[in-house]
Amino acid sequence: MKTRSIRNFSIIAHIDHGKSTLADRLLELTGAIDPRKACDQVLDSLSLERERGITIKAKSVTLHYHHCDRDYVLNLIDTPGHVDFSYEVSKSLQACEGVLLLVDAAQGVEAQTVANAYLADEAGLTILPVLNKIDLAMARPDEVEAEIEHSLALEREAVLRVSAKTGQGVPAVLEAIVARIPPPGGDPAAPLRALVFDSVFNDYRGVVLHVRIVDGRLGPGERVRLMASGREYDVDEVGHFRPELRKARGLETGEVGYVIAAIRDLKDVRVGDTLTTARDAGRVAALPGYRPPLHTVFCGFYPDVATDYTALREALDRLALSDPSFSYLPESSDALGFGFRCGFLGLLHLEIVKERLERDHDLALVQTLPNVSYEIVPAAGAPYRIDAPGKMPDANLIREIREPVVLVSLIVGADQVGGIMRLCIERRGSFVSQEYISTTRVRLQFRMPLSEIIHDFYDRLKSITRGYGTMDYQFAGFAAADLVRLRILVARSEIDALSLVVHRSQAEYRGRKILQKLRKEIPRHLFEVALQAAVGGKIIARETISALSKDVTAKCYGGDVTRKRKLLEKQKEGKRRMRAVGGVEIPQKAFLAALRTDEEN
Amino acid sequence: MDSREMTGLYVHLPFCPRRCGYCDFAVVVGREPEAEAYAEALSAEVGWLARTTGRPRLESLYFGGGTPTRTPAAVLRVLAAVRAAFAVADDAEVTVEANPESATEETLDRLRAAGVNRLSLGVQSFDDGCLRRLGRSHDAAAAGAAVQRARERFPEVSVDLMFGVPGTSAKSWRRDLERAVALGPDHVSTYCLTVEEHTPLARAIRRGEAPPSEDALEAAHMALAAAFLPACGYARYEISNYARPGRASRHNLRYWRNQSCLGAGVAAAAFWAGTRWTNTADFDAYLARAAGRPAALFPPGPAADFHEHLPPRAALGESILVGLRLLEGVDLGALSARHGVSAEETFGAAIRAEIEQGLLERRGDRIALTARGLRFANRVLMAFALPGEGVRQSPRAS
Ligand SMILES: Nc1nc2c(ncn2[C@@H]2O[C@H](COP(=O)(O)OP(=O)(O)OP(=O)(O)O)[C@@H](O)[C@H]2O)c(=O)[nH]1
Ligand code: SF4
Ligand SMILES: [Mg+2]
Repeated sequence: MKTRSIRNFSIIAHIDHGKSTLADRLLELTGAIDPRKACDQVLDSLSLERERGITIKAKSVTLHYHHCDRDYVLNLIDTPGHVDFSYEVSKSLQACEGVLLLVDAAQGVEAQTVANAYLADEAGLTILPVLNKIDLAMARPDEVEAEIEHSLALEREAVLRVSAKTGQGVPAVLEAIVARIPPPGGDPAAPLRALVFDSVFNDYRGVVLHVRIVDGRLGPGERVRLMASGREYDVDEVGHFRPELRKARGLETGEVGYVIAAIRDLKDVRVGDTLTTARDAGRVAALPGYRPPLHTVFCGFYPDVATDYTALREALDRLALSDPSFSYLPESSDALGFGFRCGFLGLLHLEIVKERLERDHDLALVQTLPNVSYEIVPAAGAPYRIDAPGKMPDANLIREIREPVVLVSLIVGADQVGGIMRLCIERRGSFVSQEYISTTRVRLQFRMPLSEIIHDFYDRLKSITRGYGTMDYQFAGFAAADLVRLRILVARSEIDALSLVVHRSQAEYRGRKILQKLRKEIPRHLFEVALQAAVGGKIIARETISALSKDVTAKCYGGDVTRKRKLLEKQKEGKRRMRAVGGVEIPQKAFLAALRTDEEN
Repeated sequence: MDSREMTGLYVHLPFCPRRCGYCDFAVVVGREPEAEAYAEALSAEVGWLARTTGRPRLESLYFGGGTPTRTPAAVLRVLAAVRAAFAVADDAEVTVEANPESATEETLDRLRAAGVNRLSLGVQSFDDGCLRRLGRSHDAAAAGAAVQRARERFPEVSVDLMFGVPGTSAKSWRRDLERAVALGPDHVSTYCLTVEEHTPLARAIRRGEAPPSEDALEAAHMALAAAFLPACGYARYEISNYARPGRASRHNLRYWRNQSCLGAGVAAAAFWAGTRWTNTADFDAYLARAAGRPAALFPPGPAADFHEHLPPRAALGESILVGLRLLEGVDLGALSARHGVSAEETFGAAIRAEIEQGLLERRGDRIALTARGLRFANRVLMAFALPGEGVRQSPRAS
């Protein structure tokens, strides 16, 4: 296959604008799948993707397209739209020369539309704007075209109108791909350089590398080296995604495909690494590669009493095979015992990992409150990061605490700007810019502490904008802030799992909320139990659980001793499931309630 | 003297005019037309029980409910069946539970004539407001009159009172106790209103329509009864029960001493030869099954829904946890011998922990709840509740 007959492109868009559905139509039109047999969004093959109806992992597929007496090879990558997985988008873009930028004709340009368009632009790719869902009665194609022109600086004339659902306009998309996206460059005669843009663990085949051949060619039997890790392997098999793995004799310059080379462990492969032949390794320069994904959200996972620690560790090890993008390190807590501190790409990612652990691995977990990482500038010594509030040193040892800050972009209705402004300022945001993308829709940008948006910010945004507002954020460095460690004490013993790092102005409010929840959930004891919230040595809120005056069942139940014994057994089991801290028995659900932030507003 | 084993028999009569808001007993409303059929089913079950247990001698017979006095003919019918099937000791305690409104002169006379010698009256309160809030069908005047009528006819009369009812005060509870004592019963039971799940009362509390129970108030009322009744000659012999000398309920003592006791009727519990079983709580299922033949060998009986035979350690725990309700406590030496396992080995550590907490005390070979322990009995008893391996039976087709 000649390089000039190849086209490599990704489909990018805001979440739910129809990327995977458009991919279905492209697969059907090129005969890669049989429309009568395929399900919707065939590329969303993970069970969680199917259940949630969203794409989580980018997926590649090779299409054969015959047009004007020529055969083309199209390599399509379907990407996720959710902000947590934007790393998947950036990885995919490196393997492409162009993108289909989908915009929902009813919803219009949204936060991730803009963010993803910028990513494509920065990567120097050709952008084909595609207006999708024109079949919808609510579609407003002319207005949305104007939004595209205005906010993305793309020409109106270039916009294709399609319905991924009905297939209307899709043949024109294929024509535009070959006409407007340039073929890959690269030198077929040069030594091999292939970009590893993804890697997936397959139970039967081991690690499957997803590569884009930049220069040269690669076939089975070749001895290859991963340049960053220095490891060498013998290639067993190469091929294309059709979308199942289809073996080929070789991968040519410009092509996208897979490589299987007896790699056992995903940890041995760094996505973004350059693959070359062992003999050429000294002669070629590595490709630019990627920054590793940033873990923005952290939390502790602890086994429930019913689940053991070993089972949790094994489940995490297993899960890491298929999702290398979360981190986990052992930690321990007085209140919760032994567990793991985990890092995630965002809250949805956290939720998905937790769901997979609980469901696929049948574990019962206690999750601590999600937090961000902090940069501590100690009174003496170099700055360092902590990812758990419990690791915050005493205030007198700290010169400065810095927290992660993000640039948040929001697209909202013009009449909702006031409400959003108030929300962002209440969340310690500072205004950056405001831009009309049409007469009725506005794009706002704020600099905000990341910690402020991981706690129910999205829900507030949705409620203020009646569901229409969208947001995207990018990491923008660490900034000093007046942060304190809020400690929660039960009967004067600190409950480490409940400590929080909060802005000084919110310490009292948050402390009081947590104490109120604990008060509801901790059963009364034979003695009075004091609940306190403290910053440093200073108590800033307190609650008391009064002593119990009696615990005795009056009834005789007509001699039904079994029933009475069962009641006591149940009570005893409840007691067994509690954690004793400072002589006070705290039920699991008290931790869970205190750790929950929803319903706070 | 008859050398046959002594036991007791409980007979359940589930009929009530309407369900009280706090009640979670096995009760049926509006099924009185079927009382005769029910009495037949009971008689069949009683006959079966007697045959399979080798006709033991009954030292106590207890008709509970529901409201047995609502269907006196059924009580009499079953009483006759019991006498025909079992040997009833001459001095047996024969108790019938009664509600004031159905304890008419005629009914009481008929019961007395049939040999009933103890009447347990569900008075609950002598305060009209309190009775209304409980959803009872009688008022204070009716309650007083009923106790009077019972006293005139029966050698032993017991009165049930309830405390911890929302809207009551220490003052009203004290008045209830005074009224009860003034009527001169032999026995007084004081039960704290328990909010059982799935009752109208529980729902009302959840919706905020009724105030939630207050344990401080309940504890105060419990303490009031514990001080007042003994001063009037009623000794406290169990957490909730008080009696004049020699008038403790022999039937209930069998339960607390974990002695055998048979049961007949809807939801009735039985304990015989180390096996416990509980009958179905479903009225129709009971009617269909009571007269049938049990699928398994004895026990359990034909209408049982659940049965278990506890391993020795769990059985010992059970003996301790029921026995500690009695103020006399339990004799650990005797119980170790009875169950063939050492109480010290099984529960020594738990017992010492409770003694340290001031909830239990040791008196020679016996242990008993302290005054404080009586208030927190569940905390202590919990330690002795070991899981059994009960079998829940799927209802057999009749
Ligand atoms: N009416 C209509 N619905 C469409 C069209 N295209 C997609 N949809 C629907 O929009 C929803 C989202 O489609 P997906 O293809 O899963 O969207 P996506 O962009 O891949 O979503 P993520 O991968 O989660 O970002 C589905 O319910 C589709 O059926 C279209 O052209 N018309
Ligand atoms: S009278 Fe007794 S058994 Fe009948 S409904 Fe009322 S509380 Fe329940
Ligand atoms: Mg998708």
